[in-house]
Amino acid sequence: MARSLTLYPETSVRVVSSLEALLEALREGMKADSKEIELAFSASGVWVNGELVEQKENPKLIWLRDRLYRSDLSGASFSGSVGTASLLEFTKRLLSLYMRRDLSLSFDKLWPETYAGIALLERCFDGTFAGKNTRSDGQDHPLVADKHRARAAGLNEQLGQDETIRIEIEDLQARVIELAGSEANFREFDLLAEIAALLPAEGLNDHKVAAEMTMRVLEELRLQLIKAPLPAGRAGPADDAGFRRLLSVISRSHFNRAVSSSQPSLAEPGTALPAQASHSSPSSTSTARAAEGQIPEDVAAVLAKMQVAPDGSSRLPEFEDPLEQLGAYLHYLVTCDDPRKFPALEAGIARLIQASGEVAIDVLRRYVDPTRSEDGKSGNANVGRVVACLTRSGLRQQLRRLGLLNVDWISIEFPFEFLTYLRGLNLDSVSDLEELDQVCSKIGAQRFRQATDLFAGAPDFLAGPIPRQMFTLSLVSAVPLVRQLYEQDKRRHKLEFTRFLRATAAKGIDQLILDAVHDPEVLLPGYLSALAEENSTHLTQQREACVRSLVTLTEGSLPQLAQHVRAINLLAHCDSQETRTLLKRLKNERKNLIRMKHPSAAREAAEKVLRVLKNAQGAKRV
Amino acid sequence: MCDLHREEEQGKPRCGIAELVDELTVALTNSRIYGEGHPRVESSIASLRHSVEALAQADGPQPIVLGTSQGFLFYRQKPLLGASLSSAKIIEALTLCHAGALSIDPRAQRYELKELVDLLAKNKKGYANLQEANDDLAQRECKLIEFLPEFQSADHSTTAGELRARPLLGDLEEGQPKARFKVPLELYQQTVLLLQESATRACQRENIDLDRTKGFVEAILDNLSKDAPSMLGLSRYERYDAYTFGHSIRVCFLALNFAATLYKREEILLRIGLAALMHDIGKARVPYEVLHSTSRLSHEERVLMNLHTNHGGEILLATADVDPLVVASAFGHHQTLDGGGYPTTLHPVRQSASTCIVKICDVFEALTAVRPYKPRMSAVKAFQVMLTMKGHFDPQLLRLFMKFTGIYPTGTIVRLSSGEQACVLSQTADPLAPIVRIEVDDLGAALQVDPELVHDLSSKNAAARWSIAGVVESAA
Repeated sequence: MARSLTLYPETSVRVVSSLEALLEALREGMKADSKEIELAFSASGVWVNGELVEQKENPKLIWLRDRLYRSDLSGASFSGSVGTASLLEFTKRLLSLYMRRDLSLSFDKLWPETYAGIALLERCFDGTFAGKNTRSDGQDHPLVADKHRARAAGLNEQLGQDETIRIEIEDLQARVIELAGSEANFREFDLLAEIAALLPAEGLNDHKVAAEMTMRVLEELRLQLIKAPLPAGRAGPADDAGFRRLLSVISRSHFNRAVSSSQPSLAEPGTALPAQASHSSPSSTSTARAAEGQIPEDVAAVLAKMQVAPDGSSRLPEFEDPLEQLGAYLHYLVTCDDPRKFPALEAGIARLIQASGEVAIDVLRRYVDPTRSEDGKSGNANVGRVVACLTRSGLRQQLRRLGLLNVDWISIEFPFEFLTYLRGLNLDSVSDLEELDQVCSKIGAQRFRQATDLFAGAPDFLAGPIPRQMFTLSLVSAVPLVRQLYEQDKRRHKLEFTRFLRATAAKGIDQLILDAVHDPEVLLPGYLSALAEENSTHLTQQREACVRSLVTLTEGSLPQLAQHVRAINLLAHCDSQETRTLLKRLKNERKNLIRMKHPSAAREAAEKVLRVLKNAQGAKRV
Repeated sequence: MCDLHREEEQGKPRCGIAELVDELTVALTNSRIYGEGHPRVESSIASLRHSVEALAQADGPQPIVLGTSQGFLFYRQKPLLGASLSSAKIIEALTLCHAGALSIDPRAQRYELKELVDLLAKNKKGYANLQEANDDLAQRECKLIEFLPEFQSADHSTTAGELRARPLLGDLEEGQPKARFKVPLELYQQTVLLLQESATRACQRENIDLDRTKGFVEAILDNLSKDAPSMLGLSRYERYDAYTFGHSIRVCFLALNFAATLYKREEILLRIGLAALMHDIGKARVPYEVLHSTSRLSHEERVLMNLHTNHGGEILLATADVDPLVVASAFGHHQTLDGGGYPTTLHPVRQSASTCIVKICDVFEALTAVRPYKPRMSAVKAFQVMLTMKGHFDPQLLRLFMKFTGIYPTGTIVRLSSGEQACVLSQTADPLAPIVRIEVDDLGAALQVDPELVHDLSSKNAAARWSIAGVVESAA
């Protein structure tokens, strides 16, 4: 019954049924033998009504004997008036006394109550079992000898006689008073008595063990006092209550460890645990602890931290942080070697930037700052990838807020990221066109010229819509840029480029030349390039060559006569020895012109141009 | 290989059945990842052969009969709970062979073991019957290895030697404390299988199935809400952590259990659980020799190991519609709030509570687990170590975790002052006095599972009767 009450609540069916069974058994026993049943323990075994009935080591009886001994009982005598209530109350008291800390209490204090139908048999003398003895009422009954009570009563005194402990105690007490200072609320208290009261049963039966345990607690206490000030009391300054708590925690921690490492496993092998579970048995735990010797287990410190754990009102980090995620995604974007993964990353980054709002700028800034790099040494080679990603994701606005992709930034970074910039342009938008104009002006023709490989290695861009759109723009500032596009595939873009130049770079004679050309194929590429080149020194030369070529190419073709004549007239702007030679030939070579419908038109034009050139030369001389 | 595991804790050489099971699991996993003839497969076969020899030396020359029933492996009438956790591959392979047990004669040659592993690893469709499986073994000239029938009656006991399924399962009948591990065990095994598969796919640069993984997290969450102590208590039984799968599962258990105290929405918990389960997926791409090194890692090896966070994010990012929270946790769980750790990034480290939870549980699990190079650490010491790791953790979350975990973590088996052993079910306001269920009485007898054996040690009544005297088995 006591065992079931140990495990289950007193209202449990198990307890109730075992109580009833015990009562039934007692009553049956009383019917058969006598009016009373006396149950007692001695070193020899179990005695029932003065008869030794059990000598074997029965675990359940040992269990009961231990509890009786801890309660200073050798047994009890049950009479007919015993009932369930008294049995239950007696058992509860018996079990609670097993847990008691203060072992110096007298029997009267241990058992202040009486229990109907139960007479308690006190363990009343020290020494070995003496057979029968006389009870207070004059009856004989078996008494049990045990040194336990004497040990418990004398423990404090014995520990105090241990010189090592005594020195340690005196030293510690002096230190406590010194540390506590004048504001402390310390009343004098017996440190050794405090520790002794906390000692577990394992320490009470053996003075040596008790001394070891006490010394360990004292050592730990000294360590704690070195590491930290005395714990504050409830009202503020240190007091003995706070100190007691510290002592209690230290003692509990040490005693728990001492007990758990010294006790054998109570489970019988194979009954409760699978075989392999033994790796975490107490013995292995102690082995583990030996290896962890460097870290003393400090329950007090851990408890102190737990006590300052935030309550529900404290603000904890959000369970999810888009900025954290954005950082990770950007990291992958700049370190990823596999372009196939870019789209997924870009989509994720776009979502996260939108989810983060304004604060995303702070993280983004780190990845587009040209001076930063992962190793802190090299430049940030990743700006372009991030800019490209954000541009593709339609997040140019965010980049601009970072000071990126604006006119100044582009002009400084050029040629780097310029393609990315172009890719992000909306050339149907007036504002984008205006910006492009500014950008191109700011970069200037010279820098465009230097960036000869601007479009090299970007076939995807060249095949896209932007280049074609660029040719249709009439941005004078964009001439060097459009020329770069033309240079990538002259044959393909000749017509577009010619039109573009007609609308932008060509002036005066060059406009006339381009007007005169119906088929741009006849134009010399060198002329177009020179035309696109601001302040070109070759333009005059190229222009002359181009016009002469035009004259030659249209010569002899009746359908092209008008164009031929226009070309001859254009030679008036191309005065050179070669031009005059050509004009003279045109004027004199009638053989060819005879076949023309209007042969005189070309000849006359040549003559006229020659005259103009002579006049101009004469005017120069004058 | 992982030869310094566990038994060193007890100062014994590795010569048990659990080690043989470990080696067989490793050989099967390696065979599936790397294929026949790969040096790593050869190495694991050699280790398997070694463990067969060692077991024969310890237990005698009779055939080693490794049985399986209801998700458990058995040896000599004992269920191998710890070994069963990571051995779903073996159990599955034996089931596909219609076998109730595998008999290995200690004289079996290395080539026979190699053929056995090859057969078990490649046989994904299964055999029509046991005879066919044994015929295949015979064709491979495995004369000293045999599949034994399923055990449906005691008649088979003569064939199976000492193995008898029914009496063994009697140990795990309903009501017995250990029977509560049946469901968690199955889930644990299936999750290990899932992670093995994910790792294999990651190694082979294939995408992993995150949707399926999420399903497992749901199941884990469901089981944790029903019986957290059993789930968390399982961790103390695992002996071998092939490819660190067990670590990931335990981190998932811990993280979900902790997160459930902070968040009520299941969707949030599932996301955190998935992050915890997948946080180390990048280790699949860490060279095997580095991952399983039993000695101190060299600088170069450490660099390779540290890359696992980068790999983890990459693997996850390759999956369509991956949750960025999961990526961030895999990526950032070794970064510290003061800018330390790895990987180094251009942006200042920010960490959400999810990543912090995963990180705290990761470190706590690592400290309290048995590793080839260290024994298990108590929860208190683990907390002490974590408290010294300045800048690593969000201090508030760490303290909350400590408070939630308690001095005696949920699932821990403690000894009460009255001598009984009890399982810690949950924590109370007093970290030293959790709610416990008494499972073994003070005489060592297992008690039937009973709600009346559950006691709140912080209550006045219980405190008068019990306090915790020590730890028998740590769950942490």
